[in-house]
Amino acid sequence: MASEQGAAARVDAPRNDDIGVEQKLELFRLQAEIRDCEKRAYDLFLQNLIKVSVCFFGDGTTNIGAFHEALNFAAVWKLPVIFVCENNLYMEYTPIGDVTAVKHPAADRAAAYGLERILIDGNDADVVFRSAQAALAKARAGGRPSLIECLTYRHSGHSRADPGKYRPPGELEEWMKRDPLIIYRQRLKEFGVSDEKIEAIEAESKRKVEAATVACKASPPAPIKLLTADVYADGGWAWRN
Amino acid sequence: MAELTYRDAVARGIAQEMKRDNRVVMIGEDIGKAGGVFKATVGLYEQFGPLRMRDTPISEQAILGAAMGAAMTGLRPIAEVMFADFLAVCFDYVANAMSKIRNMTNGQLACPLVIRTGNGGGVRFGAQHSQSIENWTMMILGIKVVAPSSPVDVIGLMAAAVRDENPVIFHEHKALSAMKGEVPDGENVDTLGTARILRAGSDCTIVALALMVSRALEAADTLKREHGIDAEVIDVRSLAPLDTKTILGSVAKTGRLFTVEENPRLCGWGPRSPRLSLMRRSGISTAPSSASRRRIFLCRRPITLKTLLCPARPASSTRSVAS
Repeated sequence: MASEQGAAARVDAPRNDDIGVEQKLELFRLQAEIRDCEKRAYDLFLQNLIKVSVCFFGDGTTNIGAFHEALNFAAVWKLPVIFVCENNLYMEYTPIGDVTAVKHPAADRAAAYGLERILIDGNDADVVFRSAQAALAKARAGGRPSLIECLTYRHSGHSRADPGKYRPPGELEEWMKRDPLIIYRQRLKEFGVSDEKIEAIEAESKRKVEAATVACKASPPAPIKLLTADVYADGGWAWRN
Repeated sequence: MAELTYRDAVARGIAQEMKRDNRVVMIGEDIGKAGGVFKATVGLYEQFGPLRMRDTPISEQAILGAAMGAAMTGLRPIAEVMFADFLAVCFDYVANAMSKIRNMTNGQLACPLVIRTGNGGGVRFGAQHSQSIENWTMMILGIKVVAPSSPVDVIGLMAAAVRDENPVIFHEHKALSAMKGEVPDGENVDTLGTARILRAGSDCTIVALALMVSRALEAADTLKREHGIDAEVIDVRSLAPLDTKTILGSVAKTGRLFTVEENPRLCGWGPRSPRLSLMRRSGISTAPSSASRRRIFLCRRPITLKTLLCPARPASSTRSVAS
């Protein structure tokens, strides 16, 4: 499992020197836009951008010692950090409730660090958005941390190798009815957005995902030099002179 | 020139870097108002204030996690882990996080930080506070490891560690705290990855680290006086990078190598040095098939890349496995 997570965590983002022409153009375009910005506005934007750290994690993380150390640090130092727990009810294969002393693994522990108890519907995008806005405002105003527990569900197993057979019958089906996409589709319709518009948005999203998938699959295998690249700051891996 | 203790040299080295670069900050337990349990950061809180000298709770994971985040977002943090033994409670950050972040992000993120830690025994602490654990840290790829043996080296190597773009573990030997030594005035900056020949000799090479350096020098004197043996003494100073040029150059001259380390014999850094010299001298440029071929990260890779990393069966079945 550890190697699975390690591999998933690896980011193979392109570097400036080995990206394609199209990406280069896009980069130049962005850089030009930034240059055109009025400096003051850009500084303000950067200030707002970098002043708050947002940390996402699952329900399983709340039982790791480092979680509690970090919350205490953030509270003692009054840091502008937003801790966002996505509670999908299962740590990996085990239900989080079976191994946690409190019902809500993040929200019920907030009091221990002098923080407000925030427990929200994680499948409702508007609720999540409003909650995030409030936490951001609080962080920017006084540099205080927030801990938000978003109740949600994992629609598949923990990993590719996990069929998720430990779930009670019917549970998945019940939660699938509350899929955030279904909820928000309904919301948009209530707001008067037409079916055609919604379908166009969905089609565009699907197209983007499919294009990215095709691009990934068509990419050449990782070069051998990647194994020994960027291990140290000199770009290489040599540990002896 | 001024005479300074090893512990005062730590504070002097940190102050030198904090004055030079306001991105340098320090966090750790009791390092601020209290001046450090080994009194190695005395005066820094008064000089640089509570924002740059941050006292923390007993939370080693959070200390290294915060230092790592600070380093990744532009600061040059120095984190103290009070006793080197305590690296065991936050080793995730050392072995899995800070050492791999550069490689795992394809060089997009850097983690320039220093972990200072009180290493070694002989000061009558308990068994969980007395280990010499530089070999634990040496085996992790992606970090640098230094262990100075004198006040002047403390300052120079501290400066080099703070200015280095990699995570550096800085082992301060607890038993050397009160050791005195001459330190030149003005800025002192040394080079990581350089060993130093402290005593020239022609009959054998003695390689030592930290507290063992002074013992090695004493042993060399005894060898000369009582046996007429002329020993060359090398202070390794840095285990990663390891200055194999200096060590092998000496062994080429003397033909005999002794390593002196404060560790159980098994899996210490000492065996690494003779192994290297044997490899070079017998013309073997890479490790035999019983050992992994290169020091690289093990992660999910296409099979063609994995064979580079994991020793495969020899192509010819008649070849015996030598180690």
